[in-house]
Amino acid sequence: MDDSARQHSGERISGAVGTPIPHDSAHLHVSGAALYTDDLPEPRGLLHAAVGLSPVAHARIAALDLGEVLQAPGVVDAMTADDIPGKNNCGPVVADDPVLAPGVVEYAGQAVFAVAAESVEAARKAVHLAKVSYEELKPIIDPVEAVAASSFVLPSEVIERGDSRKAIDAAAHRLQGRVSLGGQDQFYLEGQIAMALPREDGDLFVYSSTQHPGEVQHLVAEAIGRSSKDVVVECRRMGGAFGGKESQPALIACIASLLAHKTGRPCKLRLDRDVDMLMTGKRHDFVIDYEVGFDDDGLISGIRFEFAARCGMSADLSGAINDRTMFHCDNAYFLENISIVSHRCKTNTVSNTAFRGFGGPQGMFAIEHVIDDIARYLSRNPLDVRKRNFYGKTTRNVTQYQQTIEDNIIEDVVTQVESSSDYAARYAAVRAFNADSALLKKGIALTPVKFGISFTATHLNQAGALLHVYTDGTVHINHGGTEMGQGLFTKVAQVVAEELQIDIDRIKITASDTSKVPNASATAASAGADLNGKAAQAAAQTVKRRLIQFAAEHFNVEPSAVRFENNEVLVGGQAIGFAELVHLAWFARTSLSATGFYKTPKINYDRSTFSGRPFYYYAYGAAVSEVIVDTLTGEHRLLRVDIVHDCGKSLNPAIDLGQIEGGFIQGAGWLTTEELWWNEKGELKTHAPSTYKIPVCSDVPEEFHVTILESQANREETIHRSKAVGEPPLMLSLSVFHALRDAVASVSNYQVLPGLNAPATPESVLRAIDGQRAAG
Amino acid sequence: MASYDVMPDVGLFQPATVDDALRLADRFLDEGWLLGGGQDTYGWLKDRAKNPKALIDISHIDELRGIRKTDNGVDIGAATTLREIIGDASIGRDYSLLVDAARRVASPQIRNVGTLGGNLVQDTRCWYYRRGLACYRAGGNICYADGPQAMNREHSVFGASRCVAVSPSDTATALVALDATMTIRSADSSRTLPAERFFVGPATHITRMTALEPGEMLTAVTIPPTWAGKRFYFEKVADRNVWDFALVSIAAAMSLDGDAVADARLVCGGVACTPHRLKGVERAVRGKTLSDETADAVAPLATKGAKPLNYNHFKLPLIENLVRRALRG
Ligand SMILES: Cc1cc2nc3c(=O)[nH]c(=O)nc-3n(C[C@H](O)[C@H](O)[C@H](O)COP(=O)(O)OP(=O)(O)OC[C@H]3O[C@@H](n4cnc5c(N)ncnc54)[C@H](O)[C@@H]3O)c2cc1C
Repeated sequence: MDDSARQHSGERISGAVGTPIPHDSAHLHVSGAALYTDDLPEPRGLLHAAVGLSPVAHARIAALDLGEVLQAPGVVDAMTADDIPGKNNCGPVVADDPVLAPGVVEYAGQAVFAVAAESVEAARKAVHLAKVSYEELKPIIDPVEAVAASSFVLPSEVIERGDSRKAIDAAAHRLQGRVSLGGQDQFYLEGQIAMALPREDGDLFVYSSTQHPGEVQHLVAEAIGRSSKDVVVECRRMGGAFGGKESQPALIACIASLLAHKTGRPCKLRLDRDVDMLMTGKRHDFVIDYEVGFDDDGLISGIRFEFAARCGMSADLSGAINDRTMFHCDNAYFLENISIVSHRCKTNTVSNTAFRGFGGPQGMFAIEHVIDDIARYLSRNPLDVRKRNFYGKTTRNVTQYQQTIEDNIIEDVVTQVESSSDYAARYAAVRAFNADSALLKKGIALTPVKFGISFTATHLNQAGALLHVYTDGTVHINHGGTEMGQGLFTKVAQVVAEELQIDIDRIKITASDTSKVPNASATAASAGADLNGKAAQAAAQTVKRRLIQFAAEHFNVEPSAVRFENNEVLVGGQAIGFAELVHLAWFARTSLSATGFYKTPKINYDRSTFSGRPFYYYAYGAAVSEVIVDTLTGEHRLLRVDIVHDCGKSLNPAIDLGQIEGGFIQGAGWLTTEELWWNEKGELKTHAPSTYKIPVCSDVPEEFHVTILESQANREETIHRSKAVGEPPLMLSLSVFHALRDAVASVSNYQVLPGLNAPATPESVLRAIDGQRAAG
Repeated sequence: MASYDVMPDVGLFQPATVDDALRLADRFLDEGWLLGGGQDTYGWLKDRAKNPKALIDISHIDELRGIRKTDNGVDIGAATTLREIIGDASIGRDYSLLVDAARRVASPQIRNVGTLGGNLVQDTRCWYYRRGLACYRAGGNICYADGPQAMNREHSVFGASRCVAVSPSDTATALVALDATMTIRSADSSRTLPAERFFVGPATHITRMTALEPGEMLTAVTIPPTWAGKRFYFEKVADRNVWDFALVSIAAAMSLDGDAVADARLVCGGVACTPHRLKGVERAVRGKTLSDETADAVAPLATKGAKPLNYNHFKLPLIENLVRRALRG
């Protein structure tokens, strides 16, 4: 250990926190070598499952005869609700979600029975041989109908502050309106899948494509009539999830597990796309009524919202999702006198569930719509009205749920994107263009995002990790988070690399596994890196502390004189390789394995009064979108997008950039091309990419300028002062919708409020243009 | 509703000559299936909605590939890929209408392998039919798309007869507008048909989209010189910029005499079971100058006699608007 060995300082480990390294599996993703659940080697004797779905939205099952199904070639077994040994439930919060329909079906697409056969084809073919007779009952399909019938999955909730009625009545101007806002299918590339393997003595090992292995474990155990200790769930990665694999995988895993349990053979259930879309939940669609009072500048004095969300046939996560709608219908605006009513409508449709943003996007959609209407009514630049209503930094800074906003940077963010996008000049240019262009019309909009970070259910804001150091100085890291392509595992590995000061390729990223880290929360609420990064850091710190203590004793120095730096450990004046130190420590019988735990500080929130501090902090962003609309066809293109987004001090700017771009485009799809269409009988008719249209590469605007806000460290002490980035950017896409409204409004020379609902498909844009002409 | 996402076991023949291919086609008749780029085929097989015994792969037969100029115009082999057509300089110069149409087909990947023959002979995209339901077109006795609860925003507004499916092919409209001739061969005969008669509606033959009989193959498409270098207009409206079928499209070929229209062929896609000629518009526009006034005056003729279904009324203004744009000065 000569002096030159210490001279290395200044060089950094590879994969340090803040470096834009690629996703750990990128090379596997692009070469097709990444193993998803369906790619795992199939065990001997594997059975394949298929599910019989209800064709009707609401009915009593009068008779169910699986005789022919069981006779079909290759079929080994079949089951109905009556064959479930344990609880017939896969509901995450309320036990109202049957695995297999118990005598009554409540949506078209609901699982009624399941078949296990020797091949996928045999199972899927056999399903159609079932003889089921349904006595149809009257279904309730849409939320407005549900409100009228008081059909709710959970009680309606209210937040009130001030006296909105009085404020509106006293206001110089008033507007009211109703908008409807479509849902969205998660459309993960990898469909829902689970493979259950019986182990000895009735235990089960389950591979599940899930954001929430712990919940799958608990629900599978209950379904087979065992306990959690008897079931292990593992997930190395998902091919996308977007919230669609937060609660829904339990249904898939329960069916595979029940069949494995019944037959004693391993069983895999992989849904094909149509079945996946029919059977599993989506983003909630809403009908939103509003009433608002404001002054000549557009300052809102009072506002009332009534939200009706189509929750589907069960509660699922609808409580928390709709709570988040109530928390985000302020977006970045101070709404002094406000009344919010939120209905969680029970309908005979698939139970809607989590989707990136988790109710937040719908809330923000509502307030952005109102602000846009106000601006148009007053013939003002919508950005001026937005700014007029922004939260203040020291006054006007308390939300409707009584959280004081301490980290408000919305004006900085907006100012930056306003200038980088040249908003003012382009706003004028758009108007000049429209004055001269009869058929093609442009529109532009700037919308902000303020998104609260934390699970609103306080108890979920906890995480665990498990870290082993092997004697060769390499590390195995495991935590309760799951990888769905978002780069969580890479970020957590970076945190561990930074803590132990070793190159990231010395760290093995491992599959989420309920036997390593128990009781983990779902990887959701954008909080994956915040929670699991901290837990992994804590585990690394524990081992590091032990190593420091060992080194201090071994080399006879003060613990404060031991420093980890660039794959080495500096002990007093000497440097020793990390691996070397580890080996010495092991030899001296030092524990090289530790768990880590983290719980988010400061948050507390009383759901009974909807007040407190549900969010640890907020993430901010703003986007400017410019569109062009063909008024003869309603077709439109996104011409240019400028985004400034706040990631705190980014853990990995490359991954964060991907999240911002992807979130934005996914949001644009929600608001423009993706249409879930139910007929009056409650049959979803857009259940495949043929009719349900997600954005594709060429929908990405040619000019797409994304900037991560420079060095704005999180005020709160999050993991390396970073901010969550999974969900917030999705809502930047509201700028696309409002740019479209702007273009549509130009048809009446901005005299008529555009009646545009989301999604703004060419068909609905054309309808809105007609509305402009008819009214103009 | 059966749905699968894996391919079935199916026989595959890869003949090297057209004669061999035709002999195979003759042998298997209804149970054989000509395979071009497979971009329509694979969906059918994957879903088990069509279950041929044998695929006869014609995509590598040299005689069927390539673009040749002849005295009668230009011959395009049926197994020529859409990408090859798009990249061909002489077609681009003389018949840019076809290039513009081919360019709007699907996605680059599909155009790389999809053949002209396959694009023309592809089956309709009625989602009920494609799901394997026993509708009229599948030999059954009901139309699922034409009910009060049915989703039919993509279906026909003209020429329905029990079946309300539409022709999905983008190149078909262009080739009807260009008055192309189809060469059809079987093991023991050969015939030609004008493009317009190649496509058949449900009143003629409800289980087919073209005049091809079992055992027949489309071998080539000939575009006559009549319309070379004339004024063309192609436009396609879809829910999405790429990778999407036409809700309504228009292919127009026009010859001008000074400022006035001497002759015109206007064909709409996505509105009927065959490429739909707008004969009323063609007649009315003859002798008129191309202008906004002309366009506005004749556009309403395009939707005369249209019978929209529950959810596709929006196609009517689209048809008229596309005509307007095709005829503006
Ligand atoms: C996602 C997607 C999007 C699409 N979008 C569009 C679109 O926008 N516009 C559009 O026009 N099409 C579109 N298509 C259809 C696609 O372009 C056509 O399916 C493709 O061009 C067919 O060519 P192919 O050679 O692959 O056909 P194949 O699948 O090989 O053949 C199609 C049919 O034609 C028959 N056939 C093929 N060659 C001959 C021949 N020489 N003689 C007789 N019969 C023959 C086959 O037997 C089969 O029935 C889309 C398809 C997909 C999957």
